[in-house]
Amino acid sequence: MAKRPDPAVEDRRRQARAAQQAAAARAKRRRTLVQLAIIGGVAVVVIAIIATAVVLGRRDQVPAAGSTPVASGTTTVGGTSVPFAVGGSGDTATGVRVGAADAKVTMDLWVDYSCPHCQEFEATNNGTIDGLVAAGKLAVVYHNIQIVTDYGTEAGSASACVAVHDPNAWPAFNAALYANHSAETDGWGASDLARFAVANGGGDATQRCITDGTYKSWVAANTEASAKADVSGTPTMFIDGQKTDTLSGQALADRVNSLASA
Amino acid sequence: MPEDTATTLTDDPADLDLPRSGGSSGRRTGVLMVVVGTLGLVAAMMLTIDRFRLLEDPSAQLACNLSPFIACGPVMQSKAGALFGFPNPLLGIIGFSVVLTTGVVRATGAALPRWYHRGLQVGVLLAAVFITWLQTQSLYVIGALCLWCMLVWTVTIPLVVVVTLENAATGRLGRGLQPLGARLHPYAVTVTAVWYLVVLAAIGLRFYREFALFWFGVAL
Repeated sequence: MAKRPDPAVEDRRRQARAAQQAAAARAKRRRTLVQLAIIGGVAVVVIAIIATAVVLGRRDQVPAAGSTPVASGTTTVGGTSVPFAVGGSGDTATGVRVGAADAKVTMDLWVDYSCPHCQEFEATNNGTIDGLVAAGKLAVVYHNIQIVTDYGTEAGSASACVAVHDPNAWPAFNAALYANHSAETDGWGASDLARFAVANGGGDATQRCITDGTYKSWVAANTEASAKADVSGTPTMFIDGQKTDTLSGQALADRVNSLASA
Repeated sequence: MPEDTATTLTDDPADLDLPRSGGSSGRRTGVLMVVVGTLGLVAAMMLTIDRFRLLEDPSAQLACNLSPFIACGPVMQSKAGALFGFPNPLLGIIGFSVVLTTGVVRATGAALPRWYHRGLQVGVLLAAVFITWLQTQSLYVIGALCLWCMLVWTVTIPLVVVVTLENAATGRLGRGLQPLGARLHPYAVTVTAVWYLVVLAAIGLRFYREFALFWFGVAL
């Protein structure tokens, strides 16, 4: 005959089981809370770090010296003297114009000194473009903006300084700024670029202008203007005001030549 | 091996039920591996197919090129995109197939020998090193994010965390790591989330200006 279960023992067993389950549930709840607290804490730290970077980055991007470069005159492209202008109103408000006033074709290039594709474009097409500009067929407006790294802003400011103070050195300096960009020079600040400009024909005024970060805010303003001008990447090309695929090499020469002879 | 006598128990399938984790942890890991393997395979296949497309027509417009900084083209065509002389996604197709197959086997509840788990451990650690290196290349050298690559990062991180913590907790990585593994294993979700947040922080710090400009039209 089976032993009849002792009700008191059964009861204690049930209680013990219930207590065990409750403890397990409590432990699980606590573990969930700990996990949420850790994840939430790290998320807050991450947001704080990025917010700090945004605030600090903003402050040193807009220097008090910020102003718009304004100059006009001539520069030398492909051995020929051609009109040159930066700042003011119209096209040049956000860029540097190189080429005859009566050139048949005007090309707007929205470019970033820190953008690898722009570097490639510049290396491939510099000669072609200079030839067309020297022949009087083409005028180019270089809109320097910054969307990739800080080098775009620093070099853009340096470029504007050279455009204002040493326009004759500008075409070569523009090309040099692209050729110079690499992983090692990406972190270059104003003083590095000032030295680089002096080595590329910049004078005292240019050196001071670059060291002061004078036109960094101009590059930032151009970047803002680029969004409104339907520029969604660099390089973006407009020919006679029409946004077009970025033409390169012979295709570029052919298009300009056919427009110029039309 | 002398330690075998001490660890035979831990290779018993019943042992995959870790302390306090409840249910069959081995099967759940299997299901996770099936999901990770499938998504990883999709991403690796898409990257390989797009690579072919670019080879056929270098000016092809890829669906994954969303903006100047969210673009797979420059990432795939970079030197880092073919570390061993052939496109990286081929490694992904191989690796994620193994993950998927292993996941299916484990989801059936089958027990695998310890050497298999250790081999898998080596594999996931190499995967962790590889994606971390690719992340630094993508952020700081190429300067562009690639959607399919980010899907690979997203699935690889939980895979590494879960496989490693489970292996440690069950003593497959030696008795020295067992207590630490057992302590951390219930927090696998947290470890994964913190890892995600670190990567997100790096992306945010590197690209906040681009995000602000292209999504909100604000030049910071």
